[in-house]
Amino acid sequence: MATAPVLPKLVGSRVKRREDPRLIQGGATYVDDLKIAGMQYVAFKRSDIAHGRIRSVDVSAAQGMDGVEAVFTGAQIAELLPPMPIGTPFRSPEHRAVAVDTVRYVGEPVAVVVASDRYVARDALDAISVSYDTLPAVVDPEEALKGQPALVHADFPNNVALPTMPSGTGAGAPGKPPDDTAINKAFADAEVVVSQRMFNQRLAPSPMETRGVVAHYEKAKGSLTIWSSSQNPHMLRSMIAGVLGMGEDQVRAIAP
Amino acid sequence: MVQISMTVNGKVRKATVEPRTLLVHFLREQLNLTGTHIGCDTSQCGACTILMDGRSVKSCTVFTVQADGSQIMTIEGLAKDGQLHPVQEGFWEEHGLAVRLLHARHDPLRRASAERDPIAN
Repeated sequence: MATAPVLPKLVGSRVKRREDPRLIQGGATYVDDLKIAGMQYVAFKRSDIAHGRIRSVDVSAAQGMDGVEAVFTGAQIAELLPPMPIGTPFRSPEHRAVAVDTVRYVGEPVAVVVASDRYVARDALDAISVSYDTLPAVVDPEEALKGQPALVHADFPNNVALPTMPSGTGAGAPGKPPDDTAINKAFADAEVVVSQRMFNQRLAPSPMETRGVVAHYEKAKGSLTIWSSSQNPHMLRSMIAGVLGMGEDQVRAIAP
Repeated sequence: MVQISMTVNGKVRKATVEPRTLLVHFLREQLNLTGTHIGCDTSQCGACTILMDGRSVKSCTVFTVQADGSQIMTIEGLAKDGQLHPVQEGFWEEHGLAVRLLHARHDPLRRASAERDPIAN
């Protein structure tokens, strides 16, 4: 007589996570743990103003530093790379990896340093000088919808990228405003209508493993391997391949 | 460049470092002890916590030269002879690192230190 297989009893029982031993002993691999022979370090010179036109970026002092392999301004990067993919089907402002002529937030990259060591790369950032014509910062969403005090992107009037209506309100015909008849009637017929003004704080997703990437280009094979602190390695591979003009089969993305 | 010597997880380590080298970079990049992490660059997150002469310190805020001659323990040195430290066992048992992130490393060390656990001996 055949014996019934013994199935692991999982439902209703305490199950310890298999990944924990390496995590609690410091044995997991994160992007910053990776080392490749000949690896160089990248650092970004970032905007310290919220909105401004870039007048000049002087990288000459940084370029001459010992251990600095290369320095690129946004304008130079723009000659090498097309705009970054946004990942939505909607009309979007052009998004450059490194700002070309305008900065639109504090922290936007304006120049890139490649160096033999992370300390040297940071030193080189300090040697880069950027001058701006400061523009008014857009910080109030209601003022922003009136196009005040400035437009973040010149070709998006009133700072609106995408007007949307909650579902069920009745979208209008193409090119027509949404049809609010049904929702207006529902409110008019309601026994109680609660009206409230709500504020939401700015959201800043802050993973403990911060954003990072290691890339290894093998010239002889024409292939690129990328280790990224990403949850979407497949999409990353496709987008990197598209931006660099490579085939998807030449790019491998790994989320370690 | 400065010559330094320290005991890390029971092993004597000698090296030559720049005076400005942070201890966390020395541990991670020269000793390959990557269980100690950098999470914030502002000395707030504690992902770089180690034990220095038995006291928990944030290794991103210590220069390597300041640790010259000291006894260092990183997360890699907490388990002994294949046996997890009771605090590590507790984290595993109680799903203490369900977020799967760097708590994985720094909390066991911080707690072990806070409880004046004999691991420092």
